[in-house]
Amino acid sequence: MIVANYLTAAAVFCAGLYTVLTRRNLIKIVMGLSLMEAATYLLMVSLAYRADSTAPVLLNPPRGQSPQQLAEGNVADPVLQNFCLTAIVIGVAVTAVFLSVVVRIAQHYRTLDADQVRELRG
Amino acid sequence: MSWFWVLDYLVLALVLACAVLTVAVRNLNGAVMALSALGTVLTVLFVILGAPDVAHSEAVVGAIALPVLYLVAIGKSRTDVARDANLGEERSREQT
Amino acid sequence: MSRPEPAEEEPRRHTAAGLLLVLSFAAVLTAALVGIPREHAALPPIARYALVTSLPKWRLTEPVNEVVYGTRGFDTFGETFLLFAAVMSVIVIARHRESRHGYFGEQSAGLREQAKADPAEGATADESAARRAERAERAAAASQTPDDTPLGAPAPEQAEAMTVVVRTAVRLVAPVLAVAGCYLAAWGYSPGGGFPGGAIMVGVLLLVYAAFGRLMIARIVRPGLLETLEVAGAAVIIGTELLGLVLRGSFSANWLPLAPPQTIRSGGIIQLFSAGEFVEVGTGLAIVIFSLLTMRHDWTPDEQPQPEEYRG
Repeated sequence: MIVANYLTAAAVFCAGLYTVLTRRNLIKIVMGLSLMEAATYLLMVSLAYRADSTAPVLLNPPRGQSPQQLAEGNVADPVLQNFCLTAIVIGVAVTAVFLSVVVRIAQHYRTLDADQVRELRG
Repeated sequence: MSWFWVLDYLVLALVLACAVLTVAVRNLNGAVMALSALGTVLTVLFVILGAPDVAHSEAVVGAIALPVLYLVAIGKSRTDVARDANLGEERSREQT
Repeated sequence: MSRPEPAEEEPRRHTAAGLLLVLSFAAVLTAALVGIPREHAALPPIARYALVTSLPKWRLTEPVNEVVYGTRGFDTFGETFLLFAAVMSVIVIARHRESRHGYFGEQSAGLREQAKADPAEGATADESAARRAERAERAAAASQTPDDTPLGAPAPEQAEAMTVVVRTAVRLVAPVLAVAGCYLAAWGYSPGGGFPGGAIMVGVLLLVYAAFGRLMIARIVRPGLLETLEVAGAAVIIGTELLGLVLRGSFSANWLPLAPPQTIRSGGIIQLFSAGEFVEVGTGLAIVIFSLLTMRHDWTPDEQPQPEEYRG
């Protein structure tokens, strides 16, 4: 059932959270954040799915329906898919900023170990 | 449509495997490849779930944008973090 | 002889507490996710409205594009400018100290600036002859592609481009990929929009960069050109949205005449918005990747703090 998608999304999100909480390497922490974002994409598209539905594309719809019939009929949810599109773009933008900050930290502190970096001197 | 759910569960298993791989692999480049594999498998899942637009974006991000950013960041920080070959991912012998 | 797998596990901290927190969070999350509506739920009214109005109001057979760039255009507007802000912050973080800042050719530009600042008093005849000989020798050694270096030549690898196999393959594939990228962004009535198209163009740029070296793309990848193109893309988006406000009274209203459904101009301003985002995402991601690549450690590191000193 679709619940399996939801639970997989929860599992991937918890894997990302575990990585962020317990790893000391800064790049691995950013990867954990990427995992959490991937989990939200999975959750949103799974929420948008409807039973036996086709993609919300009215271009020559399947089984001889006319576009109007398909628009009324059993089709996946386009608005949730728009949320997922926005989330993907924001995910890339945020990851880029994280990584440039991490490279600056590596250049300045000469280490990627979060514990050594945490002693932020004044 | 039981073939649909079989396919869905198969791809979900792949997604979980890639996520665990990303966390478990110690070598940073390997973890980036696992993350890229996760993006690609998610693309397949989005096609199955009837979301072609999202599949386009996820394929592009999972294959081009994220891996390049991560590999460039690893390469850049590797030049500055002199001591550890794997950027401190594995605590090297003399440190213990 | 494979490298002995280091016995020590990966450096991590307070795994027990982390695991406990994550598992409890997982329990809460599962309890929540089991309760949300499953796949038999009815489509929400906003989704039904988006599907129903997609053809009559926008003459577009792609409701997701119509939702992304038309009905909820303000949301995509915010998202695109968040990407714009991310690119700006990466530029600020990766900034060099000197004002002149190109992605490539830093050393030669520095030498030119140095020569202008204090022109040398001219080299004597034999000195310039020696320098010419040395330059000729170095040019002979520095090979353009790995094919030129003889087999088994000692490292380091000085080639800038790849072998002839990769170069021919990329010469065939790159135009096809570029056309595919433009197709994704151009035809509004099929899935795919400005973002995947722009990201594919960055992929093609990196492919050519990897295969042919920096000389092939040094003309395109200049901060001056890329940043102006990106701001131009952003201006196009602002223009389409504001004209909707001016001409039709609401921010992202459609002010363009509607073409019949399956043509390139179908969907009114959706195509214009998608084209603007195509330019902005393409140049923005290129700026991010190349400024990350050319991020330089050009400040004097303070005295090397000993790790033990932290513990004290």
